[in-house]
Amino acid sequence: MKKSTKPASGAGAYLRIAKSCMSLGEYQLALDVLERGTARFAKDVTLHIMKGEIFLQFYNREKTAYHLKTALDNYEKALKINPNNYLALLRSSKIYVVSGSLGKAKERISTLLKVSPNDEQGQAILQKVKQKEKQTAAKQAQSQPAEKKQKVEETKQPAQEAVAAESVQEQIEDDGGLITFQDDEKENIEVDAADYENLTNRLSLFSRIDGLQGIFLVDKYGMPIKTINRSDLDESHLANLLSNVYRASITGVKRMRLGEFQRGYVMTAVGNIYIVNAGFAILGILMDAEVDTKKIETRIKMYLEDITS
Amino acid sequence: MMDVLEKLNRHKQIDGSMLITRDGIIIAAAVPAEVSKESVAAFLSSIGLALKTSLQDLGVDGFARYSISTIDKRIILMDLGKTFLIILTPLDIDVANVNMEMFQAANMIKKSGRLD
Repeated sequence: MKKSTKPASGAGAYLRIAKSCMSLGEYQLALDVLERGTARFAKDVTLHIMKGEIFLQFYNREKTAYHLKTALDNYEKALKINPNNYLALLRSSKIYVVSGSLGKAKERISTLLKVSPNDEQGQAILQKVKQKEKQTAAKQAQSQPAEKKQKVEETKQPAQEAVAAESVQEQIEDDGGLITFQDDEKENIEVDAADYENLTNRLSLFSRIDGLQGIFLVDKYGMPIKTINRSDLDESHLANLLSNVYRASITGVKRMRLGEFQRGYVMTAVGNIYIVNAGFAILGILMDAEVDTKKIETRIKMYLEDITS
Repeated sequence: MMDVLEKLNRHKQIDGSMLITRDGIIIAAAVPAEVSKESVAAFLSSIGLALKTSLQDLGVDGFARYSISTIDKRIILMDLGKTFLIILTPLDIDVANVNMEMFQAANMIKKSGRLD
């Protein structure tokens, strides 16, 4: 079992303050907070990612190469600490597509699809990369002599694939180089601080339950909102697990036409984990194997009722 | 393998069961006609792999079971090493009882020695 380095509770405070600043539109202030945070907790993945998110916002507003590169640098720093971080892989691959580094984009996406197979956003970016490769090949062919035209023909994809690429085009649209967010990503970024407060306040429902090793409230991309970790497991990897399994389960259940994902329960050698769909957040509960699940289920129901009422 | 799944399906709270490889290839399937076994195999292998990879990052060697609850159904994924055993049930079940059946089926599959 990988031991937690335990700096995350302090880093979490920086993250919360930065998010509050962002919800007020104070991006520069948020950045200052994150700068201080990363100076103290250089190994915290989430702080680097949040910095990347802010620079990406700056880039979308001002469209300067500096902001895009700085955003990328921050995602790369996050990936050095955790090479399987979903959000860092997703964002960096989008940046590589926009900047034309298709090989790098492919590399990132193949890692992302290993971590999160069948991921819709990952598949969309992969299609985008393929499409751009085709366009590049076609451009090169146009400027080459006629005998090389045959090579272009070989790169042409079947009609079906072209149609599929067209449909995913709607999902990832980099309007003239902008990195745009899908609806659920926007929702994730624009969550009101009051909503987070509502989600975190009600976590007290889980207090005083014997055998509870941790409670983790994270957003859909694994960014922590509130964590209480009494286990030796690394918080950022746990947050990643919650986010990866949640997304895979949401997509899987929808595509299998078996309804809507409500919650998951994983049994492992180090404890059992609940993964609960809590609207725009994911609630993770890590506990000993001996804990009465009925008691936990009752509290989860109460929690979900409270946050939606 | 089908006889193991058919025995499993005789349990009144089990609607269907499947055995798949880690990469989603169906070894045996006994599921209701309205369920697409191909998509169940594909997506549950994805979920299983996502779970395994994330647990590896945590330094945890795999999982025993992953139970997914929807509004009215439950899907249970059991890691048997090279294969996954999948069970489809209604949401409200006697979990302990179904678990017992699953363990028995898993043992029979493992004993067959072909797949683990």
